[in-house]
Amino acid sequence: MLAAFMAEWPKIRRRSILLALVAMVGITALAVGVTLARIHRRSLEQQVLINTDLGLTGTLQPSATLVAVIVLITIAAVLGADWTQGTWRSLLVQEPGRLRLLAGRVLALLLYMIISAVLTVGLGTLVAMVVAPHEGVNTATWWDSTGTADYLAFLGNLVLAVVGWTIFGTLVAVLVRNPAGAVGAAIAWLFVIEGLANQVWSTVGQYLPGRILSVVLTGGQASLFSNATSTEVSYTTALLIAGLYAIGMAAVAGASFRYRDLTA
Amino acid sequence: MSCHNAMVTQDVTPVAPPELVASLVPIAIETHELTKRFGERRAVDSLSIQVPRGVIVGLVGPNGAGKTTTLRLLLGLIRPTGGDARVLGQSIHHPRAFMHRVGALIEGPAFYPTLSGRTNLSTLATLGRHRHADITELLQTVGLGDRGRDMFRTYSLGMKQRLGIAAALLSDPELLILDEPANGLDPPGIIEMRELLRRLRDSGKTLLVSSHLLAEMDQIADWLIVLVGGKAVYCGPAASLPGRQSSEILVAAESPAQLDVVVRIARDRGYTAVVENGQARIAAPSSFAADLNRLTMQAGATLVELHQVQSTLEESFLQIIGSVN
Repeated sequence: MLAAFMAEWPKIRRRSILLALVAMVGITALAVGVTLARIHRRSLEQQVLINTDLGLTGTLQPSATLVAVIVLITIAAVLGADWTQGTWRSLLVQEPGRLRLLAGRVLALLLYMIISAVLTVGLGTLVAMVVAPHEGVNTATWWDSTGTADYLAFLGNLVLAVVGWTIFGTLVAVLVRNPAGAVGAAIAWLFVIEGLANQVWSTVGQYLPGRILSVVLTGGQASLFSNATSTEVSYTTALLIAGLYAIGMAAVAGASFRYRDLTA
Repeated sequence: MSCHNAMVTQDVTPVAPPELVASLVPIAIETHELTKRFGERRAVDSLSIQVPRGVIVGLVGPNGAGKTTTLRLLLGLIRPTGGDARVLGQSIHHPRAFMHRVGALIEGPAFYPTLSGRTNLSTLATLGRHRHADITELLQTVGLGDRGRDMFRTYSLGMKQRLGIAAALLSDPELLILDEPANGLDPPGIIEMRELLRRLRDSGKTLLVSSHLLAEMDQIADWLIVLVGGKAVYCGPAASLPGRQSSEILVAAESPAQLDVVVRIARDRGYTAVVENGQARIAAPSSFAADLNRLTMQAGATLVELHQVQSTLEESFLQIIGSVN
């Protein structure tokens, strides 16, 4: 597995994967900048909240959601492409232990995604610190003891969410075996199937993977700048369910990769 | 060494000479009733073959004969529906037990298009725990020494194929499994490939080479497996392929009248003989050539040309396919 992990890094330098980091950084910087620049047009409650210890994490949260989606799409596309390019067979000739190969590769990609997400949030934080004073936002509370704890908890939740989205992306790629199909399936699941399920049968819909990972990402708190209704699922429950989902998805992905024929 | 299959007929079953059999052990690959179905279709059908070590084994057959499926089964990329196979003494159900001793190029070279040839090899070397120091030498060996730093997507088909061969050689394998290695190569490239394969064979490696280039196989294969409809209709020494032993004697004489004398002598001894393009074609074993020369001289005719023509692999192959069908 270590060999598969190490062998993945030169491939991560590919432009298609680096693009994911560029997209994360660009979207986050833009989202943070726009959020703070438009703070005077927000509701009074939001204008008050931005000056509290939750102000910074609240500002970063919308872009963190987008980062998570980028993680899902990137993982699904990168792993799915190995079927269309036929590269799995080249890799399996060198490392016939399928689970070792898949686990090593996914761990390398996961580490890259975590680093990218944390760097992105770090950059978003810098943008926020630069823009906020110009918009009259008091950032002192962002870095008091409570604010710092919130910020670190936010980063921790982001990492957990990235882990979840990476496993979800792996499952979709392994089942669909095609980059375009995998990305399409992932997006359709998140925005169509889960969206519909939440509208039609919200009791069940809120327990679907996308919603659960969103709760983990937000720490179970309603978004500061979103009109989305808060979920009834608590953070602790979401964490537990997310863990079960992760184990289940990893098991299905592993079994499928190990036992299905490689005909590509 | 033998192959067993329901479709094998007496006409095409090889019988390897005992001394050859003794010299060919140990076995590199053996399959027993190996079967792979895709739905109702049997891509590989009760395949039972044995191939010796240290030779170039040609795997030939028409399109859809099951060549690539067989290679995929041997590499553990797909699972058999029935039967078993052993590669270098290990079951194909446990590819980790033997794959570190095997190099392979299957169904065309597959690499990351936006990485250089060298980086592609480097990642595979890391993955397979092979020596990175050998990469430069390997690139030189396959003729990519000056293009190693270029992106894979800029390579021509022949260059991609060469990189695939280099990847297969990364582990300095005992057994090389190559699917259409000459695909996309220009004539000088094919000659280089042929020489490379011979060098590898001479260094003690076993090569299982699938190809539809029968003329190429004719030149390099020591051992042949002929697949038709997922079944092995021949598995044995290339020289013993049914039809290879049959030969013709081509004769040219000083005049047409003398050629008629030659034809008459051949027919009198029970051989089929015809005159074509100013030459007599006599379907006879090589041992008859000396007799023919002596008899025509006694009859007062003078031969200006006499040589033996052995049937090509292509002709033998078509003969086998015809007998199976």
